[in-house]
Amino acid sequence: MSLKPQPLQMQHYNIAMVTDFFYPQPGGVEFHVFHLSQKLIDLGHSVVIITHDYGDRSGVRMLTNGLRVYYVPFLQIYRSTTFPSVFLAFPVLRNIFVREQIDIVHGHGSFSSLGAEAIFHGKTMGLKTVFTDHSLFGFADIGSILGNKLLKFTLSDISHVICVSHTCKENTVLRASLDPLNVSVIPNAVISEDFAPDLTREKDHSRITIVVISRLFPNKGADLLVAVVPQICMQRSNVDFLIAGDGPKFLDLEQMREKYFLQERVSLIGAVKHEEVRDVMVKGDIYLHPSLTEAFGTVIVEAASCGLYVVTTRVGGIPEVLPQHMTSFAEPEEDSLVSALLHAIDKVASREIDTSLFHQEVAHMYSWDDIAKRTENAYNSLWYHDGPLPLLDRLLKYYCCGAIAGKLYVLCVIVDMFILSVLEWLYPVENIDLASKWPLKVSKKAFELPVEDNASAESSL
Amino acid sequence: MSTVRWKKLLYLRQPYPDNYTDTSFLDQLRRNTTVAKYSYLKLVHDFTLVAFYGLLLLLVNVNFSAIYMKLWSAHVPTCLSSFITTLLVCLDSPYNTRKRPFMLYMLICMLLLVFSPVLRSLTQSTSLDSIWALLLILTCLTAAFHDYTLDLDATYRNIMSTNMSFANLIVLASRLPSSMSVFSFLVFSIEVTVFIPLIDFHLRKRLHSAHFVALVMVFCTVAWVIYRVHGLLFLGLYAAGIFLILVCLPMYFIFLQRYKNELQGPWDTAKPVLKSIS
Repeated sequence: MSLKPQPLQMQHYNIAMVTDFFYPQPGGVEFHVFHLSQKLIDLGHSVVIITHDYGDRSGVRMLTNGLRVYYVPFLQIYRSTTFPSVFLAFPVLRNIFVREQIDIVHGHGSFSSLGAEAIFHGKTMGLKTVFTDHSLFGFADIGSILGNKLLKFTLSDISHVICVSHTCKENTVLRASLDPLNVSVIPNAVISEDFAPDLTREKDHSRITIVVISRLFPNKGADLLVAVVPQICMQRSNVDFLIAGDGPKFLDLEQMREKYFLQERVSLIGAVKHEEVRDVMVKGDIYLHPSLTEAFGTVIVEAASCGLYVVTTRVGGIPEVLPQHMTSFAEPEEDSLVSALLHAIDKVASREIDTSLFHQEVAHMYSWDDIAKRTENAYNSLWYHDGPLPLLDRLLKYYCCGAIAGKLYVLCVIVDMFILSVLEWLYPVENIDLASKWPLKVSKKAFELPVEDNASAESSL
Repeated sequence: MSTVRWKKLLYLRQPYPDNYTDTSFLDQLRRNTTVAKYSYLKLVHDFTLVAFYGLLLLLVNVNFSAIYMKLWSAHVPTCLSSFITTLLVCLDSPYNTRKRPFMLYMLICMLLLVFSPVLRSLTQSTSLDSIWALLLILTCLTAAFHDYTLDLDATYRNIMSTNMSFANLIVLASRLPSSMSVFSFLVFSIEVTVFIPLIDFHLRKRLHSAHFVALVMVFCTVAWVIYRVHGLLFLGLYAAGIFLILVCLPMYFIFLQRYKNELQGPWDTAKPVLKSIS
């Protein structure tokens, strides 16, 4: 691996993670931001998180290891995304960026308009900007067309983009017309200690439990689940289902259970908290993931880490996530999923699959230390090919985005620069107090990025 | 660079940088897989529906001009159109279900009769220019929102367009001199713009060639009316317009297909295949 030399100017960065989605709300982006920030702090960087307020949780909060969170009061419109106002957040964002002496603005999530706004303003202020994309979008429906236009606007002048899977990279490169060399693939990870198999549990090998943990939405494959469960129950009498999660399709599942008299064998336990997920998972032997779209699918990594054999649909980035011996893939079709499941049940029942090593293997594959190190590499690369762009070139980048949109974007950039000069006159940088940084505690734990070649990696599997 | 081949996998630590882009990048991208090939004749047929409705709107407007210019009295076209609609309704529906449409028809006529004096003076204080501008906007909206029902199995739902054409007709009718002409004009217009598309929809379901007969008949009627009201120049313009809709627009539509750039790939939400939807 051609490791880039460490930049001389910067060893430790001040990073602002900006996203609409953060604790107390559970979810993939939320955990990613938190764990990544923690590990970056361990690597000696200073990280702050900027998000909107959650109920009465507004203002500045301090989390573990001096991770400062700014809950900025903002109007939320839909599923906790803020109102896409383009300019309104600029004063407060500038204030925070100056206060915290930010070098890198790192936005998360395509839906997060606060993240998009921070990247835009950060660039106007001459900071380095990074964006992590966590989701996949199509190109056909009106929602994704508008979303893609917005993404194009955000990413026109971005320094670097991180995607959670190779499929996600392909998608983002197409959606925002990016140079693929400016896009890194850095996956999600799991905290493997939190997803350890329950070794104390006495396994009853006569019965096999299939676990499903999913928000019961149509795009999570709830319809497939409703179709598959009775078929499996009919064909294998030793199989039970444990389904956790809530959503609009919960009723369909209940009706299915009534219709086929499966109350004894299908338990629906409703929504579970993230910290309880492991306790639900370890009750099962097979994890079923019927989703129809998925950028990465952290939940199947968590399931494998808990020692479950994973049966999943082959959609989105899922085929990249786990090796063959931990998973069996099916097409998103009822028949294919049923036969894959039956096959998996038979293999697990005959103890053909040894799941006892899964936990160790997954811990080796995905760890936040590794992710943070790779993200740091991406940050380091910013100082090499991202010199300050002349204004005209920056405007040209935006102008090329579209016949009408391009002109609109250029207008936005100019207005943004005007606002910046007004802000600099109203609130000069000298008058903004600098935040005192949390005492830097350089981790003693030396972390080496293990690099193996494919041959040895595969022979070990 | 190492000799080990890159793989599109996340769980391997590969000796490549994170921003490595393989030659297989985007090889699962599919373009324009769902794009249908359009046949010119099929498109011409689809555009006849647009032309048909356009002709009906034109008929109403030209008839209004004629009444407004006192070329003929408002009752004559109304009697004719009422006769034709009644005939068509009788042919279309079986004997025992004929009662309901007629009751409805009578009710609407009664209501129009009652309200026509009010409608006559509705826009008296509005200037004529505003009326013409409103007429143009409402006619365009009516045509845009009309349910052209290409899919014959779908139900005919045309609430939006019907409402707009009502508004349009009321605005027009309010410029006529007498209550009786207001009433006659409204009855005629509603028959033409609301009943005839409905009947055409049923015709297309049963006997497809009847649709073309209807089209030709309406075309000739409108041509004659335009010639009588506006003269030869407008007749030429009218013929050119219809030629544009029926011949040039389908060609333009096919021409536009080359700009289609649909992208499909593994990121699209999969469509689940379920055996039985019970």
